[in-house]
Amino acid sequence: MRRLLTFLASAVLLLSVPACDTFVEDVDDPIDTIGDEQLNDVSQVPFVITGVEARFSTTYGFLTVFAGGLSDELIFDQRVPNATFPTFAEFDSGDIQFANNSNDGLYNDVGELRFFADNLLERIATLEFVGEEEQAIQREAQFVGNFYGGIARYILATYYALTPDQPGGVITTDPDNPGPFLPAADLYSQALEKLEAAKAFASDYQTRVINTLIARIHLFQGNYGAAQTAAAAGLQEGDDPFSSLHSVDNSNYWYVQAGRGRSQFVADFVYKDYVDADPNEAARIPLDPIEGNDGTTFYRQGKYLERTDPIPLVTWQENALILAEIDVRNGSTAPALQRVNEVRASHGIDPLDSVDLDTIALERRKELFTMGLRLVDQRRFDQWHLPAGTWQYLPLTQSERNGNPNLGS
Amino acid sequence: MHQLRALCLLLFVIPSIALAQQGTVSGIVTDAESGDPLPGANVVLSQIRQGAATDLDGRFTIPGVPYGTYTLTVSFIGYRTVEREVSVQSPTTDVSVALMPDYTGLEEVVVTGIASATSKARAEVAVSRIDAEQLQENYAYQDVSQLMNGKITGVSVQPASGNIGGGIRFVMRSSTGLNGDGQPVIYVDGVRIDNAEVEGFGVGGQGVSMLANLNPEDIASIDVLKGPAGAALYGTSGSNGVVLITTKRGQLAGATARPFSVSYKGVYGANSQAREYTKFNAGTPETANAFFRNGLISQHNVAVSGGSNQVRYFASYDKRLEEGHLPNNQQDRQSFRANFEAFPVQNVTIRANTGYTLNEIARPQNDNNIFGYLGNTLLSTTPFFFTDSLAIESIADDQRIQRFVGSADVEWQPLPRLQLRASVGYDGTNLRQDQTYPANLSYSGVVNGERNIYNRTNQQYTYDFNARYSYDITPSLNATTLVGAQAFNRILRTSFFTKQNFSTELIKNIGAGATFIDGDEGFLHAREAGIFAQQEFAFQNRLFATLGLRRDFATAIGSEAAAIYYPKASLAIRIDEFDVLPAAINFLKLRTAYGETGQLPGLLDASRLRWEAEPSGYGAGAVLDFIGNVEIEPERIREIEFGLEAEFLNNIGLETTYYLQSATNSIIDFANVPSSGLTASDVPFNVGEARGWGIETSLSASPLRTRNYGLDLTFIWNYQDNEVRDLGGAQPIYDGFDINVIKEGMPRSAFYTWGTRATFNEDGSYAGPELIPGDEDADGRRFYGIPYPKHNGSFSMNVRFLKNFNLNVLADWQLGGSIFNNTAYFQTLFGANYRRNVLGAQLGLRPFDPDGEDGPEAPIEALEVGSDAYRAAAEEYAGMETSFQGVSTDGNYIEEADFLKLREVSLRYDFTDLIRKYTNDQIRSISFTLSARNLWMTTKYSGADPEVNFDGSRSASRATDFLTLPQPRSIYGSLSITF
Repeated sequence: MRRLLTFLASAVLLLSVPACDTFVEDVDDPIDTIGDEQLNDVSQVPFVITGVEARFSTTYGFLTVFAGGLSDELIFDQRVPNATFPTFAEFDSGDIQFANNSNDGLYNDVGELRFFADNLLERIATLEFVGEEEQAIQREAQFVGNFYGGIARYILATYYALTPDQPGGVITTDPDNPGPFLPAADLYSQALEKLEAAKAFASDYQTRVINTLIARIHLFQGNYGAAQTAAAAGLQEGDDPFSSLHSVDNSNYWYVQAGRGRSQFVADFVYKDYVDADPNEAARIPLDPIEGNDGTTFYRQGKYLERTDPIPLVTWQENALILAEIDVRNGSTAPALQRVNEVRASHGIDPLDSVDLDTIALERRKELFTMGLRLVDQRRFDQWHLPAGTWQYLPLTQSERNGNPNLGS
Repeated sequence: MHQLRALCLLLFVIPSIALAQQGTVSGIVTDAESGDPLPGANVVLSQIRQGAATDLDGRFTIPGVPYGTYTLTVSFIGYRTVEREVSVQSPTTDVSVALMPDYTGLEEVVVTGIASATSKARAEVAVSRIDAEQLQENYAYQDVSQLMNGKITGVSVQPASGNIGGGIRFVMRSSTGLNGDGQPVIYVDGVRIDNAEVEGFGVGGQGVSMLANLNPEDIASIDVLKGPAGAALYGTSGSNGVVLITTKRGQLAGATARPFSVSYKGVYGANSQAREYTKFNAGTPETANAFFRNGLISQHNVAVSGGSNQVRYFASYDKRLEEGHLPNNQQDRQSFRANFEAFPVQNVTIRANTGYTLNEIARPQNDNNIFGYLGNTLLSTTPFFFTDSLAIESIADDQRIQRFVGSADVEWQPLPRLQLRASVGYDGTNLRQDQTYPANLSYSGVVNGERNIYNRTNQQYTYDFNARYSYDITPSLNATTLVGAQAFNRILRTSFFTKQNFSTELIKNIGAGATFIDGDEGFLHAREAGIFAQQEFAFQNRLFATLGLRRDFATAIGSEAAAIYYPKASLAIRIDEFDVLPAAINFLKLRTAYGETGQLPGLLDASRLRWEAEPSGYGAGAVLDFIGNVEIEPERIREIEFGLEAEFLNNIGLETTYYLQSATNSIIDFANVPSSGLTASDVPFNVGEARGWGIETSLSASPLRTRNYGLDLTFIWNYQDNEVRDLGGAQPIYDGFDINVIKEGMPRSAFYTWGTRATFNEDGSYAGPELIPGDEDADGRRFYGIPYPKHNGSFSMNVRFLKNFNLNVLADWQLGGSIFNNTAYFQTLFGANYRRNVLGAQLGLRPFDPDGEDGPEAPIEALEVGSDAYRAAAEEYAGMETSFQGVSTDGNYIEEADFLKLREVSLRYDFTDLIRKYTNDQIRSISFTLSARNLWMTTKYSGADPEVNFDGSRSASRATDFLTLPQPRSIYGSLSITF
C-alpha cells in the first residue's frame, strides 16, 4: 500500500513539472507594450519616427519654459495663484539643486531624444527598404534621426553645464560605462555634423531650417563668419516657423505650467513695459493678465492659450536678426537696420531709425520671447541679472552625477 | 433505476439502525479552577462524530448513541482539550468534565505551513494566531489592520493615513528582502486575495485598501506565518510571510437548545480629531481644526449560525457606515456571507465559503496636493493659499466596489490514514471610481470642471491540491508524507478616461465634457504554480522534525518561465517530556526552523527593451516604456530561526524567537545615467544582498482568576534590524524624493541626506549655515535614521471584575524609528514655520510679531549677540534650512517617530445573568460595550501623527509626513445580543 502511494505521489509530481511550465506560460501578452525586436520591421519605422518627434515636443516644451525661468524672461512669484513648485523657484533664482526634479524631467527627455534619434538610425541600417514608398520612409527616417540627434546635442551644449562655468553635457552609448563630460564645443561640433548629415535627406524648406539652426550654433560660439554663411541660406521671409507640435495629451508645457493651465511662471514686468511703450509690440509679446493673491496684476505669456499650440523652434525672423547682428558686428548698420525693420514690420511694428548691438539684443529679447533664447543672449551680451555665482546653465542632474563615475570635474 | 435501488437500500438500513440499542450521553462541562459552567463547549464522540455544544448551564446531551465504548473529546476555546473514555451501556450515561484554562494557548491548533496545522505545543516554527471572535466582544473594528495590529509578535499592520478605508502596510519581521513591496500574501479560506492599494485618480497620495472590503466581524481567526522558515512551501511570494484568514463557521448546536442561534451587534459612535493643530505645526491652526468633525460610525450586524452532525452553516449580513473625521471621507460597506460545511459521509467533508461585499469609499483631498484640506491650512499663514475652501469641499471622489470571494473545498479520507484535499477559490473585484471637479468652481489646471472615470477589474483564481498520509515506522516513530500542488492565475484590467470643459456643474456625465484630456487602459495576466513535498516525523511526544521542498514556476514575459527550488527543514524538542525540569516549569519546547523562498521579478523584468505608444502632436509614436534584463531570476530569501516556548506555574507563558534572514540575488534596479537615454525604467540585476535579524518575544500571564475576577496580561516586544550588504557595485539607490536610500552597509530605506548647522563670526554673531560634514563617497550625505522602528510592541490587559464587567486595554509603542516632517519643511519654504520665524527675530534677521501688529503679543525681541541663548537660537535656526549649496537639507526635518499610544480601551458589561431572570433563556447572551481607539498618545514628533506616510502604503517613500491626515480618535458603544 505504502509503495503504491509513493509511486502515485512521485508520478503526480513528475507529471506536474511540465504541466506547471505550460500553465504559467499560457498567458495573454500585454496590450500596451511590445518587445524591441518587434520594431525591426519596415512597416514599424513610421511609428518609431513619430516617437522621436514626440520626444522632441516634450523636451522642447520643458526646455523653453525652464530656460525662460532661469533667464530674466520669466519670474516665479508665490503671489501668483498656484505658483508653488520649489524647483521653479530655484530656476528663477539661479540657485538650482542638482536633485531639482523638474530639471530631471528635462534632462531625461534630452537623453531620450538623443537615444531615440540615434537608435532610429541604427535600426534602419539593419532593415531593407524596397520600392519607392519604403525608400521614402527610409529617407524620412534618416532625416529625423540626424536632425533630432543634432538638436539633442545642441540642447546639451547650449543649456547644460557640469559646474557654473563648465558648459557641456554627456552622451552615453554603453550604460555600463557612461560617457565622459563633453565640453559645449565638442557637443556643438557633433550637432553640426548631425545637422549637415540631415541635409542629404531634407526638403528645401527643411534645409533652410537646418541652415538657420547652424547659423545659430555658430553665432552662439562667436563664429560670425560661419554664422553669416549659414544664415544666408537660412529661412527667408514668408517661411513658416519650424515648431514643436502639441496635442491634448502631450500638451504645450507653457500652457500647462506658465500659462492658462497653471501659472507658476509669469512674464517679467519689463515685457508689460514694452507693450505699454508701444502697444503694437503686443503682436509679438502677447500678455495675459492674472490677479495675484495680494491684488497685484501679473502678466502671463499669451502666446500659447491652448494646449495644442505649437512652439516655434526657428523662425525667419530669427534668421534675419542673426544676419543683422553680424552686420552690426561687421560695422554694416544700414543692412542691419533694414533687416530689423523687416522683422518689426512683419508684426506691424513701426521701424527704428538706428541700430546697434544693444538694439539687436533688445529686438531679439522681444522677437524671440518664449523660445528659450534669452538665456543665451544674456550670457552673450553680458546682461546677467542674478548675483555672481548663480547658475547660467541648468546643472547636470544628481542622477547623472550619482551614476556616472567618468564625469571628472 | 439507481434512485430506486438507493431508496430500497435506505429502507432496508433504517430499521436496522433503529433496532440497535442506544443510549444518551449527557453531562456538564465546567471551568476546573472557578467551577463555573462553560456554555458553548464542544463535546464530540470521536468514533461516530456525534456531538453537541453545551448550553448556558454548561450542560450537554448527545442522544441516540449506540452502545459501545467511545472517546469523548471536550474542547473549548481558551481551555485545554480533554479526552475521556466513555462506555455507553445503559440508556443514560452521565459524564462531568472540568477543563483547565489554557492560559498560554498551547492547545490551540495553529497553522504551521501549507496544508499543515498542529497544536502550538508541537509546532516547529514560530506561529501566531489571532482569535478574532474574542476581540470582537470588545471592539467593532473598521478593518483587518485594526484587528491585527499589536496582537501578535513580529508583525505590525499600519494604515498610511487617517483615511477611512485607506491603505495598509504590513511590516513583517525585519523586511529583509529588497524586492517587492514587502507585503505578505493573504488567503481567506484558502483563496489568495487581492491586497492592492488602489489609487486610481489620485487625491494627493492615499489610495483605497482592497482589504477594506473584508468585514472584520466575519473573521473567526487569523494565522500568520511570518517568514520563509514557516512559509517556504508557499514558495515564491511567501517571502514576506503568509496571512491566513479563516471566516466564521457554523457551530454544532446543543441538543437541548434550538438548532441555530441568531446574533445581532449594533454599533454607534464617532470618529474625531485626536490632536488639534497648533501654531507650532500649522500656518492657520484654527482654520485647519475647524474642518474636523465628529464622523458617524454606525454598524448593524446580524448573523445566523447553527448546524447538525451532517451540516453546519454560518450566514451574516453587515452594514457599516463610517464617516471620517474630515469631510468627504466615508465608507459605506455592506457584506454578505454564507459559509456551509457538510459531512455527507463519515470520511468526506465539503465546505463552501462565500462572501460578497458592496463598498463605497470616498476619499478627502490631502497630502502632496494643492487641493488638499491640510495643504491649504497648514503650509501658509494665509488660509486657502492655493484653492478656495468651497472648491476643496466640492471635489467628489467615490470608489464603488463589488467583490466576491468564494471557495469550495473537499476533504476525503479514503483510508484511515490518508487525507486528500482539493480546493478552488475565486476572488473577483470590480471597482469603479468617479472623480468630479465641478464646472462652476476654479481649480488650477482644470478648465470648466473635470470628470474622471477609472475602472479596475481584478480576477484571481487559486487552485490547491494535497495529499497527506500518516503512518508508523515504529510504534514510537510516526511519519507523515505530504505532497501537493498549487496554482494561481491573475487577470487585471484597468481603464480610465478624463474630460474637462463642462457647461454646467449640474450635468457631469463624461460625455458632457467638451474637451478630451486623457484615456487609457491596462492589462496584466500572470500565473504561478508550484509543487511541493514534505516529510514529517514525530518521535513519541518529544521530538518533531520536518523536511520539505517546493519547485516553483512563474510567468515571465520575454523569457522562459522562471523556475526555482525552495527547501525547508525544522525541528522541535519537548524538554518537559524528559522529566529534567523543575516542577515550576510545566512546559518547555525548543525549536529551530530553516526555509527559503523568493520574490519574483516583475512580470516584464526579463524583457530587454519594451516600447509603448505615446500620443503627441505628431500622432502616436514609439517611446521606451521599460528596460529589462533577460537574465533576471527571483530574489532568494533564506531564514533560520531559533525559539522556545515555555509555561511556568501553569499560567505564565513565554515565547521568544530569534531569526536571521538573508536575501541574496536581490534584484537591484540600476538607474541608467540619463545621458544613456535609457531612463524609462530602472534596470533589474540580481546583485543585491541584505541581511535582517530580530527577536520577538511575548510574555503572558493570568495571575488572577476567580468566579468574579480575572486578570490577563500580555507584553509583546519585537526587535528588528537589517543591513544592506551588497549592491554589486551599484551606486546607492534613492527613492523618488531622493531621501530614502538603499546603500551598502546601511539599513534598508535609511534616511540619507544633508543637514546644516550654524557658523559664527568672530564677534559671536550668526554667520549663516554650513553643511554638517557627511560621507565623502556620497557627496556629504549623512545617516538620519530609519523609517521604521527598531523596537516595537504592545501591552495588553484584560480585567474581569464583579463577574460581569470586563475592561480591556491595549497600548502599543515604537522606538528607534524616524519620520521626515516634510510639512514643516514646506512651512519654512512658505514662511509659516512659527519656530523658525521666532528664531529669525531672536537673531535679529527679520522682525516677527506672532499675532500681527494689532495683536496683544509683543514682537519677538532680538537676543544679545554672543549670549548662550543667542548661540542656541542660531544653531536651531541654522538647523531649519531647507537647502544649502545646491542640496536639499531634508535631514533638518527628520524627527524621532517614537510613540506610545493607548490604542484600544473597552469596558463591557454582560447583562446575561441579569436578563435571564426575566426571559427564560430566550436570550442567550446580551452585553453592552463602550470602546475607544487612539484615546491618548505621547510622542516627541512635532506633527500630528508619527505613523503616517504621504504616499500611501506601498511606496518606496516611507515615513514621510506631508500634509497627511492623522489617524482619528474613535469612540463608540456596541450592543450585542445572541438569541
